[in-house]
Amino acid sequence: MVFTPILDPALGCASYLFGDDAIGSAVVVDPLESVGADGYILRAAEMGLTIEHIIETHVHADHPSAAGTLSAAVGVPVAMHPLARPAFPHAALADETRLDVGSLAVTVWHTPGHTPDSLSLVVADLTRAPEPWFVLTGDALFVGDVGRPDLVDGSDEAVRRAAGDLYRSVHERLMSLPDDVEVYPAHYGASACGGLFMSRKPWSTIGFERRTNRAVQADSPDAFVRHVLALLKPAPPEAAILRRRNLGLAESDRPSEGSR
Amino acid sequence: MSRPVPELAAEIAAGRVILVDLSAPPRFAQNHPAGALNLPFGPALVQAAATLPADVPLVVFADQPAVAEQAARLLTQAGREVAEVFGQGADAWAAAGGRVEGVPRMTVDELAARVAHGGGDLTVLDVREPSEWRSGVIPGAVLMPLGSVPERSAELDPERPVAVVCAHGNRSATAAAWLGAHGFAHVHNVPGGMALWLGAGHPAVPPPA
Repeated sequence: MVFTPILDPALGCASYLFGDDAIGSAVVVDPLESVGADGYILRAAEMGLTIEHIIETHVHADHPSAAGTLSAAVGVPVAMHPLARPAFPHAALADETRLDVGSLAVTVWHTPGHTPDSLSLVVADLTRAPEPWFVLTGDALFVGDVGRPDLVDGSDEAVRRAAGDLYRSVHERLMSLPDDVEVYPAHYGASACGGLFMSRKPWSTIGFERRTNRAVQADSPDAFVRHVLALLKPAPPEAAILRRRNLGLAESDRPSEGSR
Repeated sequence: MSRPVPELAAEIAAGRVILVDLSAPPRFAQNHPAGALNLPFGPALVQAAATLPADVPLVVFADQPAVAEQAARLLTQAGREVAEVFGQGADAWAAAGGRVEGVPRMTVDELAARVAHGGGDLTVLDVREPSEWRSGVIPGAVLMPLGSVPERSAELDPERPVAVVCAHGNRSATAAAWLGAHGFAHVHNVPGGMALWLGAGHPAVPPPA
């Protein structure tokens, strides 16, 4: 298999291109407008890969996504969780959906909390082993931190409910994975989507986060929610605008623009 | 694209232009314009193009406009004449009146099932180099390094099915496409090659001494 993270250090965003090089099939996860559709297409071509799946782990509220333009360029629909409800045609990825990318098995886990539509992708290379090798955690689990639960609805009640969802996603779902599974989140370092303890190192393992991530160490849902709420930074002012833009709702900047 | 595809196809067939298909070899083997040469997009592209006759203009072909345009820029900078750029892929080439050719794939598991049943009339063709045979070869495989395939293909029966393997499936794709274009009626490329065959625990034997 091939696996290439594509990072934007200024934004603290991580996107991923991976696939089965034996048959040349690839997945792009959380493509960034700052990289651009052509950036992903050229990187894939250099590795002998054709982009056959485009997945958004959630509707992003901190940066413009390239999913729409990439989708138009390569003729593959954007795949998202049904709760994303974008304005453009998309493929729905429900919990436990399995995508076969050559000999890679990509299993969708619904891991809400940061947003209602957040998902994680549990990936196995069946030529190596049937069990998961790595997980793309989107904005659910970060290195040293977890996603913020306030960007979709900032009211007290909604934030507490979302934080409770996040507790279940992180503690009950992601932490059910074995220690040696690698963790590839959608953010690191400078990102506005993380809190005080988010590492500038982009990647980790389930085991290391289990032992050292303070949000994971919180030993009850209440302690977890208190921890998350205590670390909240002010929401980025453009969050609502970016969410609308990435849902295809903003007239001036539809994701389908720029298609060939 | 200024010239219609059938006109270009005639130019290619006459050798007045060379169509360079930028696809990875496994994709190229499956489906490419008739007469195309496979120069995969990547850091080695310009160097590989330097081996082509210098005075023949190129038609740059890919399944993405961004890839075809970037390659055309790099080749032009390197002093090659790029006559046309086609970035819509083999299906669009066919729809515009160009002929496409290619060979189907056979997975290592499908191949293993055939070999387990004695292989029938199937020829397993291993195009790796002799130094690579130590990792084991598929029982009954014909060993023919890629560079020797054009001169030694007469040793094979063009009417019998052939499954081509190498280490990872790139050289076998090149060989399979070549055989398919040279009269072999039932050629298959085996993606993943011996890495996948051995990784899956399929049988291998030491090479003949």
